[in-house]
Amino acid sequence: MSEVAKQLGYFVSAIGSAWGGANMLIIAGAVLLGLIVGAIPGLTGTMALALLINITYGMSRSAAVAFMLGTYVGAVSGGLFSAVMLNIPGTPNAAATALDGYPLALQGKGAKARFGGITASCLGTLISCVIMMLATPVISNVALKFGKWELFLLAVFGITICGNLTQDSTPLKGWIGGFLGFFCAMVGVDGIYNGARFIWIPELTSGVTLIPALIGLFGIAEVLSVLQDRTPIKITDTSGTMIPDKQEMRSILKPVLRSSLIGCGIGAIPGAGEDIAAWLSYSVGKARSKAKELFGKGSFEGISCSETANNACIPGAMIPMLTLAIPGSTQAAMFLAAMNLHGIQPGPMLTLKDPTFMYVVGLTLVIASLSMFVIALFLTKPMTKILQINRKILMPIIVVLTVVGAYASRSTLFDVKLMLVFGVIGFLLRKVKIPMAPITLGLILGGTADTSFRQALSLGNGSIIPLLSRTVGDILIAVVVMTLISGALKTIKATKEEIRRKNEEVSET
Amino acid sequence: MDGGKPKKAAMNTGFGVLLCIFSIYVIVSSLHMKYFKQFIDGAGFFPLIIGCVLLGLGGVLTFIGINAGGLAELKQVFTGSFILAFIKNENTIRVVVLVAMMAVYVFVLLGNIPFVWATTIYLFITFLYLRAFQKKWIIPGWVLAIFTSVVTSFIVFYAFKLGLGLTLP
Repeated sequence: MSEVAKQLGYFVSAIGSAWGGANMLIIAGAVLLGLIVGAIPGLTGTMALALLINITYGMSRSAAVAFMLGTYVGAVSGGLFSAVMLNIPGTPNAAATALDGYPLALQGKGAKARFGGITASCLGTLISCVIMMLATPVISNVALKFGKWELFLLAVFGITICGNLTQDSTPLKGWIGGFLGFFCAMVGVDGIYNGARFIWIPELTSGVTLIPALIGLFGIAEVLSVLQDRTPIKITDTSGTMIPDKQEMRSILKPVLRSSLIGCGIGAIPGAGEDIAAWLSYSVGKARSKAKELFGKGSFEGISCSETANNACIPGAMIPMLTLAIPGSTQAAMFLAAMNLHGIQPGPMLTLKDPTFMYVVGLTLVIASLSMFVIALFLTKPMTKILQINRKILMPIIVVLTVVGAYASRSTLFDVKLMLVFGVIGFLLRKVKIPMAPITLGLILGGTADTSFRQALSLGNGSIIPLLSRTVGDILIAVVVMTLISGALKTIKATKEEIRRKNEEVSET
Repeated sequence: MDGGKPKKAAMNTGFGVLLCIFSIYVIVSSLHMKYFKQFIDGAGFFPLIIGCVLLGLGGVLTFIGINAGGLAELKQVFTGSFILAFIKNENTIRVVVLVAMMAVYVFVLLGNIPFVWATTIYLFITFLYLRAFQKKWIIPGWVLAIFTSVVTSFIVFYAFKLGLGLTLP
């Protein structure tokens, strides 16, 4: 049987899993939940997924996939509501949307802006899903040829590229975050000889538990950040016609294909995430647009660029996660953790053990995207009430949910304490602009990097020289070196800029 | 550095130095770990590399911070007036109090008294501190805070117990 026919067979059998049982209802509920969470400023998709992982405990595998992916799609899309109505992006990936969404709301076109954003989000996910389902089997076949050395290099590449691409920080701080994540993954007994490492208290023997650590980093740290901030909530334009006219619709649809490709591509880069995809697509769209003067003043094209790309990033982020077990975004990292809970081990072997799983993920994303389109349109009016929820009431309740979420994974109070410690550390690291995405990636990839590296060296009899004759490994080394050089140059440029600005300030005073 | 908020260069320098100290601890600890067959596949080998990389990165961050005037800014951080302003900073106080309340909830209340009681106490005190509820009609804010705390605690407890079969501590 040819490879294409085989893949088609897997695709057909995945349809039953994705659409079967109560999955449609679960997806719809999860999308609704995700949209609400994504819309409320201060609650991010990553936080929602971290808190909700444990809810999937009692679910079947396909229901858990449906629930997590539905929430993921909803949370990424929900940010556009507050971006348009409040000028506060509900999630960081909607920041570029606010640039045009809010000016359109001020012009009385808020409803049209939301419709445009929802349409673009839906189309972005659908196009990217097609790319994902076509690309994943090909990449999986390549990944099957990877040895221990290549797996180690991939983990290093993951944190270096993730560090390079972090927003609001320099690559240097991104790399520090990545290696701090690696360090956290070293705590406990090692995976080869059971040697003790950094076991300060007996409870740490089994290491830093991933889910409580992630809940702390994205739950507690965000609660503290939000309660420190006193941004007043003022809702703008909730009325008006929703359906754009012909010309406006053309502006919305024009950048969809290009932005989908950008979003999917950025999503496939480890740890890069939706916000980078949205900003890159927005700047490319602005550079290529015939009406670039409208960007930032209320452009439907601008909204479409960012919303298409941030949603297209979701299936893109699934590609490295499914094939290499390297999440493309922090939300994908949460999905990876949830899959581990259900006994699914993403990575090169997944295509051999469960070849339909990738298609189940793709089809679930398609259903989630279509559900999002319908639910988001109905949610436009009630969202005005939801956005007015008092964050001083909401955030302490979120703290209680983080406690329950951390406790649920192993039913031990130690995990709750660990979660709080990670939350406070995460908050302090944010203050010194250490990004969270590389830390997450380091935590997830640290164990693989450690065992793969040591096993690869053992195979080479302690020498790195035999490992340098492997073509894929050499390509990866070249890519890592290039990433490090570009990151170093970026850091130097940012430092020089800071010193120059400082000197100007001194000379002015 | 007005309002007790340290500047970027001071933060970079301070964090860089702390990272270097931490890295040295990681390196020393890694060297003291058990090595069974050979050095390269021992438990401490990879942490040793991580420690060395972090030391390098911390060193670069410190250098960048110092170049941007971090030392002078750090000197200001350790003056009495700055420390006083930092302690009096509204944001600092709020974060410290919130973290303290979370710590009491997690480290003291949970495990010693039932979850519902611990959660009710935590929520009520936090709502009061944040002034989350205002007087509505004739009902005072603190009554609303108690009501919300109790209802939320029971809902969370029973939702997880009945829905997921998870008995909270």
